[in-house]
Amino acid sequence: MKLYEERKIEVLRHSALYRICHWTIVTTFLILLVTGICLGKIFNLKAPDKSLFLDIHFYSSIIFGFAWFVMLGYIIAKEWKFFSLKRIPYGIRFFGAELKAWFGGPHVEDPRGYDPEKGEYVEKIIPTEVLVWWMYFALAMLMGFTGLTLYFNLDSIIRGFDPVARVLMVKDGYTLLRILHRLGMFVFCAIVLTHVYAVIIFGVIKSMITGKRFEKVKKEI
Amino acid sequence: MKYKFFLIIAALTVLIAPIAVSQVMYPKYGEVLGPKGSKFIPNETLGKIIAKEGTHQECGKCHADIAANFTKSLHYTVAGMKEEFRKGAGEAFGLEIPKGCVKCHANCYSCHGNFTTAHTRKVPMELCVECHHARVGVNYVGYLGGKKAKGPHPDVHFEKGLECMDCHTVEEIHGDGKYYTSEKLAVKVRCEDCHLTRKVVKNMVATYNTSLIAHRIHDGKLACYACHAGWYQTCYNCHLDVLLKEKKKKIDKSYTDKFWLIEGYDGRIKPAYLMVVSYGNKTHVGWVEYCPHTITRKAKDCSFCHEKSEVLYPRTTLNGEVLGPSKASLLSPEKTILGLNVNLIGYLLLASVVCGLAVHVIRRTFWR
Repeated sequence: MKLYEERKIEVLRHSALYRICHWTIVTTFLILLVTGICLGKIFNLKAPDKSLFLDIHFYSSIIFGFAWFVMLGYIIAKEWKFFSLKRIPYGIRFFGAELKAWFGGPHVEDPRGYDPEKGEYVEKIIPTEVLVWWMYFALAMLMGFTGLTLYFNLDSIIRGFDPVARVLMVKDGYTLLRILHRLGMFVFCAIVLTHVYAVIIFGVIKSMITGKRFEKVKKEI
Repeated sequence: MKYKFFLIIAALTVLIAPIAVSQVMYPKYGEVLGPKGSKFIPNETLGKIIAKEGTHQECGKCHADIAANFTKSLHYTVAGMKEEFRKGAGEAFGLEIPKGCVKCHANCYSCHGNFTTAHTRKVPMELCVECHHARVGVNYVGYLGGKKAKGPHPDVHFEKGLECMDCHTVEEIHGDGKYYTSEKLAVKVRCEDCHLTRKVVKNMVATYNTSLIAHRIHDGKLACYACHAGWYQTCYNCHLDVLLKEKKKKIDKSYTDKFWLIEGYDGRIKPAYLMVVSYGNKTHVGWVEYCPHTITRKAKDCSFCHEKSEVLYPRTTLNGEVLGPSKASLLSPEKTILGLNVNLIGYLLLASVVCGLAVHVIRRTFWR
C-alpha cells in the first residue's frame, strides 16, 4: 500500500530547459495575444502600425511554436510516463472526481509524491495536467496551422476548407480558418486563465522559476 | 528713310522694353506692403533670377520656401510611384522601377509654363489631366485612361465647373515639407472640408444632409466616395515583361464595372482597385485604396455593398496583398459559425471561466 509521509523534501522539479521553454512560451504568448487582439480588432483595439504588428505576431509565433516542439521533445524523452497520451482517460476520470469534490463530493487526494530512495517522482503531476498540456499543444498547433496558412495565403489549403466551411454555415474556407484562429485564441486564453489561477492557488509558480520544490515523500508502508 | 525709321524703333524697343517689363514685375516706386521683410528685388540680382529651366533651384531664388518643400513633394521625388512599384511588383519579381515610369518627375515649369506665364496665369486643369492621364485626371473629365474612350460619366464636380485646384491645395501640389511615399498620405483634402462646412466655391454651396440614415450610420467609418463614387478603372494583368522589352503597355482587360471596398490606411472604408501584374511566369496581385474622381450626387444603394460579398470582401474575388500605406487592409468577413457570432462565443467562454474561478475563490475563502 502506497502512502504519503508527512515530511517533504526539496527536489528538482523542472529542468532549466523545461523552464526556458515555459517562459519563452509565456512571453511569446503575451506578445501574440496583444498583437493578435490589435490585428483582429477585438475589444475595438487597433494596431497603430498593422504591418509592424503583423511582423511581430508572425516572428513571435515562430518562437512560440519552436518552444512548444522543444518542450514536446523534452517530455517525450524525459517525462513520457507522466504525460503519455495513454494517461488522458485517467486525467479525465480525475477531473470528474475533482468536479464532484467541488460540488461537495469526497475530497480528492493530491497524488504527487517523490521517492527519495529511487531519486525520482512516483507521480509528478496532478492528472488533469495531462489534459491541459495536450490541450495546450493541440491548440498551439491549431493556431500555428491556421495562422501560417492565412499569413502565407496558402490557397490550396484555404480552398480545401471550403466544403467544411459550407457544412458549418461559414462563407468560405478563408473565413473558416480565420474563425478557427480566433476561437482557438479564446479557448487558449480560457485555459491560460485557469492555469494561472491553479498555479497561484497551488503555489507552484516558484518552482517554475527556481526549478525546485518541496514535494511529499511517498513510500511503501 | 524707312531704314532709319526702323532702326530708331528697334533701338527704342531694346532700350525701353526691359525697363517697362521691370517696372511691371519689379517696381521700384511706392512701398512694399504684405508680410514683414518683403522688399523690392535689388537691381543687381534682377538679371540672375530669370529662370531658364524652371528648376526649383532657379525659381527658389525668389520662392525659397516653396522650392524647399517642392524637393520633398511627390511631384518632384516620384516616391509614390517608386514605392507602389516596389510593393506592387518590384519585390515580387526582383525588379527596379523602369526608367520610363519615373519620367513623370515634374519641375516648376511642368505646371507653370514659362517664366512669364508662371507669374501671370492660373495653372489650367488640362495640365493636371495631361499628366494624370492614366486614371484619376481623365476619369474626372469623363474619359478612360489615355483619353482613348469615354467613361460612363464625368465627376459631378467637373460638371459643376470645378477644377483640380478648387479642391486640392497648393501645399498638396508643392509639398508641405514632409517626405511622403504615397499620395494617399500627401493629399489632405477631404470631401468633409467643404461639405460639412457648407463652403462656398465658385458661388456654389457645398451641402451635406446630416439627417440621412446612411450618413448617420456610416459617419466616420466610410469615406464619402465609398458610396458616392460612380466608377473607376481597374486593369487586369499588366504584362510587365512586354513593357520592359517593347516599351509598350499591354493589359489584358480594363474594367469600369468592378467595385471593391477595403479598409484604408486611416481606418475608413474606401474603394480599391485591383492591380494584377505578370512578369515571366509569375503574377502579383495587389489591392490599392483609391479615391475615384467620378463622384455622383446620388449614392449607391445599400444593396450594392451589403448584398454583394465580393464588394465588401474582395478576397473572395482574388487573392492578393494590400498595397499603399501600411495600415490599409482587406475587410474581415463577419465571423459567424453555425449562425453564432464567434466573438460572442469567445466572450461567453472567458466570462464563464472567470465566473467559475471567482466562485472557487469565494468557496475557498468563506466555506472552507
